[in-house]
Amino acid sequence: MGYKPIESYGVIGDLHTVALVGIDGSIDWCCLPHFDSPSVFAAILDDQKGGSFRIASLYEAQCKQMYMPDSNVLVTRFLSDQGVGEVVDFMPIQGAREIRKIHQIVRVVRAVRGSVRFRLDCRPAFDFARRPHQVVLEGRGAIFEARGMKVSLVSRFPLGRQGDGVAAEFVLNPGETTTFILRQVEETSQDSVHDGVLLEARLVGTEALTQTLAFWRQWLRKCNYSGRWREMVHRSALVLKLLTFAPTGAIVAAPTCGLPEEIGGVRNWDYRYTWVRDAAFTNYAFLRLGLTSEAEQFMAWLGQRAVEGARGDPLQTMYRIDGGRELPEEILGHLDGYRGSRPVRVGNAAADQLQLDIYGELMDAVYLYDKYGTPIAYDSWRHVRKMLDWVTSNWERADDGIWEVRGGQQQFVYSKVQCWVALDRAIRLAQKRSLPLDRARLAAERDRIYETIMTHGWNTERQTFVQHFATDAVDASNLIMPLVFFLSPTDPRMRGTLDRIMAELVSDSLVHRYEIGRGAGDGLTGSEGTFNMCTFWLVEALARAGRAEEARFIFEKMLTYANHLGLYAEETGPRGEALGNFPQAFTHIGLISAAFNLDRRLGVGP
Amino acid sequence: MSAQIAYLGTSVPDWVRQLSSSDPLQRRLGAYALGEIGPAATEAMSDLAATLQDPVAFVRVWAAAASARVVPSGGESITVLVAELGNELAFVRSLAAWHLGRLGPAFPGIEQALHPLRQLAGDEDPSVRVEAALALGMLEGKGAPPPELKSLCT
Repeated sequence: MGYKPIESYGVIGDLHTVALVGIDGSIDWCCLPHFDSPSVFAAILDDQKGGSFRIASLYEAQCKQMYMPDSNVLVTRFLSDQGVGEVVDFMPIQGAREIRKIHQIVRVVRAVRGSVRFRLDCRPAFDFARRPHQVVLEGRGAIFEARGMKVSLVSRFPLGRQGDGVAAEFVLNPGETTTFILRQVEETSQDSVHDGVLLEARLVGTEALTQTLAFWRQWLRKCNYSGRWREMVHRSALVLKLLTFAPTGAIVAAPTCGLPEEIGGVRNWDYRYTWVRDAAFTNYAFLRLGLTSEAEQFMAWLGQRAVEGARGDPLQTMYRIDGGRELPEEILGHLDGYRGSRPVRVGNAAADQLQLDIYGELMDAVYLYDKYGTPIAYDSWRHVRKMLDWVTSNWERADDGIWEVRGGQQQFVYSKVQCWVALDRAIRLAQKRSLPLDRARLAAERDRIYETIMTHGWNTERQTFVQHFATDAVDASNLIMPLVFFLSPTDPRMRGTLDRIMAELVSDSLVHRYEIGRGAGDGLTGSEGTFNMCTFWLVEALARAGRAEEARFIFEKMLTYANHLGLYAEETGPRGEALGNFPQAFTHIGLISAAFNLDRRLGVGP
Repeated sequence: MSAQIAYLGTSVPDWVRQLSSSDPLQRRLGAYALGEIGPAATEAMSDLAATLQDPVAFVRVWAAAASARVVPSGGESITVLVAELGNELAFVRSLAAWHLGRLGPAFPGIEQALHPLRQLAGDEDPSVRVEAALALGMLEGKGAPPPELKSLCT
């Protein structure tokens, strides 16, 4: 079967989980029922064992993909001399009040021009291909039954057994449409799922398409962004919404695990969890676009974590999407890994790291939500104060930093900056809302952080802020300084840092987050691509420093690294290829923020 | 594309054997596979013709549809499909309607299906009504793509 480039995928989802659909019509990734559940299709991690669900034209065809306008409904097209066929993929969004939780991948197949011969191959591989299953052929399709889980495939055409999967070939006449539905019904302890439910009603596909399109279009209508690059901003917003877990409001960093930061390399992490950092930035992006209900839901989720944090122990770096704190890391040694990139990890040991920056990002989210959403409630404020007390007592500790290095703790400048942000936003918020706070103590501590950064985080000889207090290496995370108003974008120290980062970390306008082998090591071998979020931070930092045209050129260049659907992974490789988990929230957040601020700097007119 | 002599890697004689299976789903699959192989499965025509008398209605419907693909000159296929439009089971009626629509307006003898399909407009089962309407759309040369997909038509 072989591996496709990471950027050759589109994504669909139902706000509980997603599926990656390749440009060749193959669904190579899907975890059911939730983002962080074990996989049902994982051919991106093992093209032989992982499992996939492909529908494609049997003619020699050129493949194209597009989203139906303003939606997460994906159209994969097969163009050939004999005819043009399409597969329209989507996952219907269930109402919150539905008792029976059903997750469906609906695949509407159509011959647009000429008669088109298609082939379907569906071979699930449950639990990352660790759990065997039975195939039962039924009149209306097939049921795949593994221990603890059943998935059905509803098909009008008879399915033939092929190993532990099913297959069919079929011809559609011009204009003819047929629908396949892959369905999983969540079982509860009181309720076992009957096969009839799994295989019911074949005609719901078209109705579901209409409803799903209406859902996405209504949702996007709430977005108030009207600046330049609107389509890319809208696509980014749609991606972020797809990464939202509806039952709790949590936001996953990316819906995949194990996609490598270097082909054949070892940096293969599981991103199907909620990082406080990423989620807080996502909140900012939603608020910037006027999407306050998502921010509200996420703030409720975050508030619960803050309550837990106020009980004594600090916030975790990341959580499960249901708020759970256990994310034990496990290596899936039986999987080949994307193009041999091993090991494939699930769970994430970085959850246990100390990352002080998350308090700043969280407080910024609280501050912005108070400003653009709903004023903070008193009880929430009490929890916030307890958390701030923890920050004032702990900001001087070494930590693992934003990049989650596994090579030992350091006094990271970025972490200190975000501790400053935490106290600064609290002071501003208390002032604005006249909330009780020991202002003098917090202000004194905030200023002490500032002076510490200026003294120990600044390298006079190299005229730059450094990665941590014990190195002269630069780090792209310091581009955040003017973005969080730590210092003026035109301050000579920021200008010096900007120039140094551009000289040492920027290659063809793309930004490496740090120089591997210099500064804090991540404890791993190999290299990695450029970090997309940092490139967007560079755009913002340049724009704010009055270098808007330069920023615009880099931003426009960066847009060319999106895939054919406007999606980004975490990193970009030297040949422009997507690297790392995909699609990644952080990158799309960066795009939204950079577009918003650059557009503002450029002013009215093209 | 050149005519194929196998379906899912299995050749005509093996699919013919499936027509004698005790499992109606296997008989249905055998009939469907022979239909997909099409004119290259002419040697299976007598077995398919026998399957038109299968005791299970949906097997008869699939066998009729397959026969029409193996020998596109009509014959008994239309007769069987039209007869099944009156089957007591709604899913068989809708299945027969769908297959008739798929035969297309140029299929010999298809005109005899138009009146019975129109009569299904008053069927008690909504899926039968929808399939009959879609089939009529196909046979009258109009097609009936779902509204949301119309914009994608060329």
